[in-house]
Amino acid sequence: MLRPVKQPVDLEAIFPAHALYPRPTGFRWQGRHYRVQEVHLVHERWEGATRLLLYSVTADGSLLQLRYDTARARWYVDGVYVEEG
Amino acid sequence: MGTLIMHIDMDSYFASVEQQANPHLRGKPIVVSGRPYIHSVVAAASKEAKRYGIRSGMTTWEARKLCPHVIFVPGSPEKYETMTRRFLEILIRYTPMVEVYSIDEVFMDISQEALRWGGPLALAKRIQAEFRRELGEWITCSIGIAPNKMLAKLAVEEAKPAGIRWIHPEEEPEILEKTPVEAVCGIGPRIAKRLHHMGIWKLADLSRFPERYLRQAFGVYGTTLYLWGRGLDPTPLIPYWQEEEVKSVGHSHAIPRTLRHPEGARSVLLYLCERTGRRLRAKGLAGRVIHFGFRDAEMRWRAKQRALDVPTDDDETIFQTALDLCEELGGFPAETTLVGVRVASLVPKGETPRPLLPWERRREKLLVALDRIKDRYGEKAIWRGSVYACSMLTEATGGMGRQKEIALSFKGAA
Repeated sequence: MLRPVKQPVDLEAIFPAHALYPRPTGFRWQGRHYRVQEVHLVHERWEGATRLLLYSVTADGSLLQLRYDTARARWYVDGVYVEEG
Repeated sequence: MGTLIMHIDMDSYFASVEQQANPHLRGKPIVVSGRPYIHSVVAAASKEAKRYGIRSGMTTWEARKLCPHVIFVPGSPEKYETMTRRFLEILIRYTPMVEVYSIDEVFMDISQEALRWGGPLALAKRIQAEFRRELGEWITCSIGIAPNKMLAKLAVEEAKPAGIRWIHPEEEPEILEKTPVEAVCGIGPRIAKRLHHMGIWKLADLSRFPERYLRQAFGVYGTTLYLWGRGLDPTPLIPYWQEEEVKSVGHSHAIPRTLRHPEGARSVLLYLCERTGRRLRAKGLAGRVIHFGFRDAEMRWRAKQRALDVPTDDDETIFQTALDLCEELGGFPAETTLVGVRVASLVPKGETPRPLLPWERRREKLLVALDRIKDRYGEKAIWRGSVYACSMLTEATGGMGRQKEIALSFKGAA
């Protein structure tokens, strides 16, 4: 289950020449630097005219969803995946 | 080498995508369905859930009975649509002869391309490896290869999960002898029952039955059955770039328990009419025939349709017509479990008469303004108060079968 957070973050990313989406590598959140270890899935969502890219990532052992707002060029921690079952 | 059709079927698709996105779900029995508080059906079960006997189409209640610790994951259509677009992009690198059969199934004509990639098996393995690399380890597909679509679909059933099955022409007689008629996509339980009454149990039995008798019993479809019995398939592969424009636009939705009373069903109907009208306007279409239907608590489906004098794309006209049809059916019952509306006989909006009355023109302007707000700020930016209760429906699994629109969007981009 995704627990919503929706907080803007300072984020480092690579914009690869031959891949579809930018790739986050690390970010600063709640006074701590997180290194992105793995990007599990990227999917797109449109909110009106705004295209959002949603990243399911593991960062320093935490499973998070990052959001890239392509219209504003801003990154957010969208939510934290909570284990269930 | 003659015609070679490849059928690619994503394994437990929606569930695999969720497991790819969320490693906490991997290796666990999960079910993708509507939201937990909506009486819903299983849209997809993970491989682990299938081991407990859980299958797509079951109710969530039945699924929980089979596996009490099953995890329900709300469907996320945009995730599946993104992944479908991505695997289609991979396939189109190999051939333009790709038919989008459903959101998780594709047919490809590889007759020309197979040799270039070292034969059909080598090509199938290459596609599976590319899917793993570009989509993720948990999103796997099964591949069936055969001389036509019907046999390729049978082959893929033997290939599941994550395997490859190639039906060679010399194997066909044996396969036709052993395959039950109901295993063929296109022969549903009712037709299978009729065939059984005629003494037809296996595919090969169809070819032994005189074609004219099959035509007498099933009409034109009898010839298709006869050909299937001989291992032939008259169904052509329709590549995405030949996909015809939509013939109708509509929505149906299972109703959550809290909205099953007549007023709630009316709200859901209005919400569906608004979505239908909005899609029609986005496509620049208007429709003349309104279909309306609902399902009651005893799972009885009741439906009616009406042709209008003038084609419409107006939410209110669609809704009022649907309500009239509902009245003609005796009104909503005490408990409605599903409601649906569809607009057909579509024509381009530009070919329809312009509104003459001032209030009609005002209404059209209002709809344009509402559409602009939603285009800019999203579907949830502005709501009618009377459909606000339906906000819980928006992210449920309804509307995930948008394969035709996905195919058409690829056609537009090509």
